Amino acid sequence: MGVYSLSKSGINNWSKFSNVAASNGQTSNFELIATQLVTSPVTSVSFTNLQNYSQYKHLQIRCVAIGATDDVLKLTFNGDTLSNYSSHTLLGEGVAARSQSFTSQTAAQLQGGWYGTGNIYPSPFIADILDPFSTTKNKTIRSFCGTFQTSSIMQVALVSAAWYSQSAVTSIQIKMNAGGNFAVGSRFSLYGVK
Amino acid sequence: MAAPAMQAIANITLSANSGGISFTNIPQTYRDLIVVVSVMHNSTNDKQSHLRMNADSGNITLVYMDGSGSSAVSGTATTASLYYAAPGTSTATVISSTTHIFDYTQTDKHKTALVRAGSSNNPVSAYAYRYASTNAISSLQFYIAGTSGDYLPGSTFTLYGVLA
Repeated sequence: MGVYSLSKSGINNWSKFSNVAASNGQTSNFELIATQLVTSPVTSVSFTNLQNYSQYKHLQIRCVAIGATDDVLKLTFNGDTLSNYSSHTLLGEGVAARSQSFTSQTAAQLQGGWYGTGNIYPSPFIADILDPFSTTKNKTIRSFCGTFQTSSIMQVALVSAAWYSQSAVTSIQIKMNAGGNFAVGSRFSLYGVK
Repeated sequence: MAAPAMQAIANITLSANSGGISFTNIPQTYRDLIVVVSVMHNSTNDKQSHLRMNADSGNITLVYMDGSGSSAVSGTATTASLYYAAPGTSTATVISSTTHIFDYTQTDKHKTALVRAGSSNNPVSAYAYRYASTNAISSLQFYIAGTSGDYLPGSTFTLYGVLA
C-alpha cells in the first residue's frame, strides 16, 4: 500500500494501519453478519434468524444490485407483505431534484427507481435499519442509493422508510418490486452496529 | 469475537500545500472502500475537488443533488466530484465528504460509488458515480480541478476497507 502526495513535501504525517492488528484483538462496533452473492438469477435475497443478532443496536445493508429488468428495489420485514410500510424519497435525476411519498405500501422502497440492467449498470445502496430489535416502537430505514439505467439516465436518492410494527425484526427480504430477477454479480452484505 | 468489518488502511494529514494526493497499491482484500475527506483549499478558479480511479481521466458518469439552503438542484457530469463548494481562500471553510466505493476488486461489473458532502458555508450534496471499467481499483487520486489551487495544511484523507 503506497500513499503519496502529488506535491510530496506536503505530507509529514501519514500512517498505515495493520489490518492484522485491526482484526486481532481489537474491539469493533461494526461487524459483518452475512454476505449473499448472487451466482444464478434470483427473485429475492433474504437474511433470516436475525433474532440471533440482537446484540447489535442497528443493522446496515451494503448492496450492489444488478437487475434483469428496469425495476425498483424494495424490502420487507418478517414476511409482512400487508400495507404496513411507507417511504419518502429525495431524488436527484440530473435535470431536477424532487421528492415523493408513498403510504400504505406492501414493502419499503429502498431506491428511487430507474433501475439499470446488466453488469455495466450496477446500482449501489446503503440502508441503515435503526433499532430493529426494539419491541416498543415502529421500525425505520434510512437509505442512500444510486441507480443507473443507461449511460445518461441515472438517479441519486435519499430515502426514508418505515415499517409500522413494534415486532423485533427476525428476517429481511429484498426483492424487485415487479418481480424481476437479481442478476449474477449482485451482492448483499448485512452488518451489525453496536 | 467477530472481526472488525471496517478497518483503517491509511491516513494522510497535510502539513503544507498540496495539489493532490494518491493512495496507491490499495490492498485487494476488502469488498468496499470508504474515503473520508476533510479539506480546505485555496482554489480560486474551480469549485470542485475530483477523484480518479486507477489514474483514469475518463469513463465516469455522475449524477448529483445539491441543496443550497434555498433550493435543490440536480445535474450530471463526467468527472467524479467529491464536493461542490465555493472557492476557498483561508482555513475558514472546511469541506467534508465521505465516498463509498463498492465492489472495487470485482472484475465482473462496472464500479459504483456514493458520496455525501457538505461544508461550513456551502451546499449539502449527494452524488452517485458509475466508473465504466471492470478493472479492479488499485489506486485513488484526489486533486483540485482547474489550473491552480492547493489543499491546505490540516487537510486529511483517510482510507478504510470494508470486509464482506
